[in-house]
Amino acid sequence: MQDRRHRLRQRAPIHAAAGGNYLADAQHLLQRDRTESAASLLYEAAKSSINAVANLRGENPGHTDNKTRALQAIMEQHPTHELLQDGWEATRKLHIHCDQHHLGEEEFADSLLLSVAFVQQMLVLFQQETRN
Amino acid sequence: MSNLAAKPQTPREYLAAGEAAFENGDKAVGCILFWKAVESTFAGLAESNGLDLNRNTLSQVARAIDEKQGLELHYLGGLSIGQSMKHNAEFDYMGPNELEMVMNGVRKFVLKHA
Repeated sequence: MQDRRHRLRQRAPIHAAAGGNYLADAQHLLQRDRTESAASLLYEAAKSSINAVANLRGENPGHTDNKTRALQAIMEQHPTHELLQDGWEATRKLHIHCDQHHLGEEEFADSLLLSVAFVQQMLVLFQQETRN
Repeated sequence: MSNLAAKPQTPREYLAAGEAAFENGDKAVGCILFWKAVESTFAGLAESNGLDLNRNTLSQVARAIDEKQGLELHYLGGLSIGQSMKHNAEFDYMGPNELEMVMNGVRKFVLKHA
């Protein structure tokens, strides 16, 4: 059990780095108005950033709904960060949009904004929890 | 909504009707009613902030109030999770943990601002 937690903690920085890289690539695409591609990368960035913080705590969320549960646990310890809930949900919405193309232009733009803020916030939390 | 005489009109009434729909196992109707709770909350917010919904979208209202109050995406986030409920009524994409989280977010937002 301790070995498993140790291994997960070792993987945390790898997920954080991946999250940061996906985010940087997404922001680069947003600057070039390639918003659909950016949305896909933001979903990857968001998942990686949740995995990073969860791994740091010795947890491995796995599939998407378990990532939401891991995020709820993170939010309980950071109750001032309500953006986490709204930002993750906006990211989920972007992911569904990649298949369904159901979002109007304005809601799509709002979701991109919230999603970027979510990943940035999660990566800040990762840095804070790494120092603790 | 089996009782048309009790058709909800206020955000809190929409929320209560949504809770009842979820308790009755009607998830799609519950999602729509939770969305209506958020939508009607924004109608009140627009009015109290002097914003005309004939000239502003809900997103513009949310962004304007966030800016006015110096908040980072609070109102825009509240609008966004409400819209997610509407989409989930159509596509049913949320897992149980996700739906619970979004429902809690909507409850908190509506009860705070309605």
